[in-house]
Amino acid sequence: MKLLAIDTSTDFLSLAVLNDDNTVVFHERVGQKHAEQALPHVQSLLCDAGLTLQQLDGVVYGQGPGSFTGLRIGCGLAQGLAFAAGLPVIPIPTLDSVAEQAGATRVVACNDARMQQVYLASYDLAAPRRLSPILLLDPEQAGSELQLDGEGWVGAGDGFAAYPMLASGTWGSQLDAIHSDIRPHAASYLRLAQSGRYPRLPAREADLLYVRNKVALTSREQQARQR
Amino acid sequence: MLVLGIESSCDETGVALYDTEQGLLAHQLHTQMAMHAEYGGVVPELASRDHIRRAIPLTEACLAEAGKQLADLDAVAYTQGPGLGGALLVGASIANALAFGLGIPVVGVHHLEGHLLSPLLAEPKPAFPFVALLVSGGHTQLMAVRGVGDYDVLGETLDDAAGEAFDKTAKLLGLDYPGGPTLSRLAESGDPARFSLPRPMLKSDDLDMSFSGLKTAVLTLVRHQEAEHGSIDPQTRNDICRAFQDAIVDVLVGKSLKALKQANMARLVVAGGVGANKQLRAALDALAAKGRFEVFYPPLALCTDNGAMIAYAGAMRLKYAQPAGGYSVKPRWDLGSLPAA
Repeated sequence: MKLLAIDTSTDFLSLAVLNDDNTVVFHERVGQKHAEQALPHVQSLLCDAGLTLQQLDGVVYGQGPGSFTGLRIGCGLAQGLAFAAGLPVIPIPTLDSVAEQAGATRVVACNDARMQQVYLASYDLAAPRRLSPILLLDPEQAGSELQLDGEGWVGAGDGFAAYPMLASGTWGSQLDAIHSDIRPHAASYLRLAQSGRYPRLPAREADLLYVRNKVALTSREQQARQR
Repeated sequence: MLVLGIESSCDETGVALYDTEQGLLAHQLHTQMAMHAEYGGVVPELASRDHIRRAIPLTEACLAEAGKQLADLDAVAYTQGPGLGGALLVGASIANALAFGLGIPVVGVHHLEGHLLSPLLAEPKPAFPFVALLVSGGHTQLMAVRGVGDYDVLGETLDDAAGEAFDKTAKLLGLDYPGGPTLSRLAESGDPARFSLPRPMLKSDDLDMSFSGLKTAVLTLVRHQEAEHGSIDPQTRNDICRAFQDAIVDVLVGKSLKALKQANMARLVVAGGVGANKQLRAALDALAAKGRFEVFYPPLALCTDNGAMIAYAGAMRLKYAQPAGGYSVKPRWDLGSLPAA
């Protein structure tokens, strides 16, 4: 299988190209320079892998949740490239990639959602499947909103670094280990895409999973608040 | 040369195909107006979320409308600025990736240059040089245009854009967002003799304008009427709309005439959303009929933001086309800094 994967949902630019058994990766912290750097690195990766865009079977991208603007850069790039080359896109949730890298079967993936909140989901990677919806929570809600059954849970993602309180208390004590340095990674998306569990869509149907969907107050809500 | 144009700087997703030999071949537009209405204004994050859903389907619709394939494209033009940063990034990302994938160059277009050149998509089209009155919800400027990329700002609004003044005034009259066009419609039934509002800066020596005070004048008038009659009846509201529109039109017309005189030019081009205003057009047409100058407008469908003007401006700037690769957007971008094409 031949795939390109793009994740721009964090301050890392994460890109990878799979040419059957061979994977080449670019994964570096770029701050907000995704737009400036993505396509030039895609070009070098394709070159290193000995592939042209047209030879790929699809373009994988981080579907979210994550930085809104970052997600759209990744999705826009994936769509544009896939549309140009007549390829399908394969959207994969960012937390799925975080969980996949945790090296455990029971994983809680948790990314910093800013505004004092986290994106959170639990996984059984033996199945493999996501056990919960992708939640947007205040850190202190984790214990009541995301129940962890059984033992051997591992936490992964930068949410644990941003909110150390997640690791304390009854809920936190169920986590045997925490890997707060794990970020969505393009190589991980390639492994997930190869599983065949993620649908391939035409470029026009590429979508994003923002999870945080309330981003503004309607006029009515603004008025109610003023009263 | 066939150029695809993508516009995503605010609340309209526009895509179009312009051919340097055959002219405008296709143009597709999705306006988000209804989506933003319940928020009382454009919500930038929602605008971006919508742009990314629309751009590819609109591109497909354009190709179908023109009977063209992606492989027929020679370049991709996109709005690089000014505008909402996140919204611009959507168009820029898709345009650059598409061009990269097709192995064709990209052209970053200045949104206002798009508007400025849009009357050249109409027949008959104006010859250079001309004075351009660019008047929309985001901008109100008078420019001397001597060629593509040869622009001098003669004057501009010091505060609100004219379209913004329309929308804000409509809001304080209780009209639903975006109230500008509704206000204009109500003004048609208004009595021009009942109220008179100030014409800010009409008599100033320069070509600058100011519209924020008019809104305050309307508010004062409304309060006065309410105090006197308890409420504003529909006819009074229409009369206020008329007084407001008369004031704006007088200022825009007066400053345009002064600009023509100052630049020593005889052609006036009106572009931007407010350029669709019937009363403004009627006033300018009546003056132009006296033969001292000619007035030109873009096709009515191209007064609002659209992809056609971006495809066209891109086609005029093909010599500045770059290989697709790293890109950035310019939410603020001075029109005067553009090089001549």
